[in-house]
Amino acid sequence: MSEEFEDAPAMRHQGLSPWLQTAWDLRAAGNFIGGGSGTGLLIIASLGAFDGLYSRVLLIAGLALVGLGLFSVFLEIGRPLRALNVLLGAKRSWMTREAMVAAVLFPLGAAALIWPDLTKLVWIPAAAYLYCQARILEAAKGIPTWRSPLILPLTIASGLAEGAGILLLLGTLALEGGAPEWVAGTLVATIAARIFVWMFYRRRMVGGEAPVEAAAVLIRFSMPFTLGGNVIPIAFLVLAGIQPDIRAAALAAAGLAAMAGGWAMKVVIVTKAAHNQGFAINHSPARGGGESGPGFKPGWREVPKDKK
Amino acid sequence: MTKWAIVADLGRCVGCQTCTTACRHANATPPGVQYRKVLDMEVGTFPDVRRVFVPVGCMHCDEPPCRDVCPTTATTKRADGMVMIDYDICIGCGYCIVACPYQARYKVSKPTFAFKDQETQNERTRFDERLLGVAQKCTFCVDRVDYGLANGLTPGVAPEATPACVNSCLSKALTFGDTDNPDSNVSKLLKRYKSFRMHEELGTGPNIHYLWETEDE
Repeated sequence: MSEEFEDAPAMRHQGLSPWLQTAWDLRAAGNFIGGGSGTGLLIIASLGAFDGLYSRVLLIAGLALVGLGLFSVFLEIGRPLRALNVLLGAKRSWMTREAMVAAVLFPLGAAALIWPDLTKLVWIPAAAYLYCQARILEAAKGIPTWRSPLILPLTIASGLAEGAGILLLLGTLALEGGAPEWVAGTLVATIAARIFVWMFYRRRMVGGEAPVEAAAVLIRFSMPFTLGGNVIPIAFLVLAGIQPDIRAAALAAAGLAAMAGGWAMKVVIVTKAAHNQGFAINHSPARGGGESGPGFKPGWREVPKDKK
Repeated sequence: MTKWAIVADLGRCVGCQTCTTACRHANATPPGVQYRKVLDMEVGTFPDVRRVFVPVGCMHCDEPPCRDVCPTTATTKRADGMVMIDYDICIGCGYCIVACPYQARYKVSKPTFAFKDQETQNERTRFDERLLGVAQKCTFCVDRVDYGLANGLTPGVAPEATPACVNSCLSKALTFGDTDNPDSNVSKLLKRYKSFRMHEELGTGPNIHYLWETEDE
């Protein structure tokens, strides 16, 4: 594309088959990364408060991640000076609801830095925020890999896995005595949930719910994600259990891998497997030949219904 | 009630792109932005291959996903079914662009013109800075429709009250009218001929109807 048209939606719009959306890029993915990991961390840290866990580092890290995610969205919008307009659409938009929950999460999280007992309440807005994020993707009907109902449990499970991973990582690096024992178990459970949902999600997308090109992206990503983001963290946890000498490093590595796996998954889903719906016709018309013909759905495995 | 819709006769459309050009002229859209465009499809396998021209654009859906996701209420639906964007409220988040299953929305961040920096007279006259950095799309030429209604004209019948693309269609493949009125031009076409709507399985209720089996006249 020539330089003078760099900001114009290019002639790719002439295409018939689904093409990769360009409206949301890495900055949008950053919101799902920061928001998912941050709220995952806050949820687990908040629930851990019932077991006596309290750390300002965890609270600050969680809030910072959510804040960075929101900031990356701010960088993406075309009219940043109107950013507060995002609060107008609560009647329908999950993006508005996410912003409104953030307006509760940040003051509550900040208050918990001063009054530790409030930490036990932080999981409520954090969970609501994570849920909103999942619904944001699900509501994007133009992108088949986002509108799947499985995106909801996938986003939530990944957010929790990323949060548990970060807690393990920070526990090793910044908490006295490391992360509590139960965090490793939480990481295993959330990773298991994430990979379980991922398998179903991938199968449905490859089975015809996504355009061929988007499905191909998911197929290519599936093995590295399964191994790097899910199997390896568990292997590190096992290693930490059987090799006390390297326990701290293995726990940190497990947390890091679980977090990185979730981040990579979001980058792939938001920016690489985000092909739009494309165009289709149910019937081709009778013109000259006398009879109407079959439909046409380029870029998809499924074939629309034949002529009646 | 009133529900404006376009009926596109796939048997009549010759793919001349006159509607595309008329729309571009009427709205002075920048390069790469086409509110109305005509897809050129090659359907079937040899020897049974046919070429189909499919006009597409904003479908002004009954249940527009773009409106449902809009965090600012910039995207609204009028009582007559037209889906509109308030350019003064939109923040340009692009959520509606990814929510639209018809790829009908665009966002342009800086002024671009057909001949690089040289605006044409029409581009100069119609340039609207409010459209920079926000979502934009087909409006069914709402200004013409509203003008017509205010002056006792019937949209879809009187050219002054009819969208530019429909006016320009030299093969009369495009018809604009009120599907809620059983006696309207579009209702008669839909009653008489078989039709389908694109991606109807998504539950959006698109309001561009495609006729696919019409009689030769």
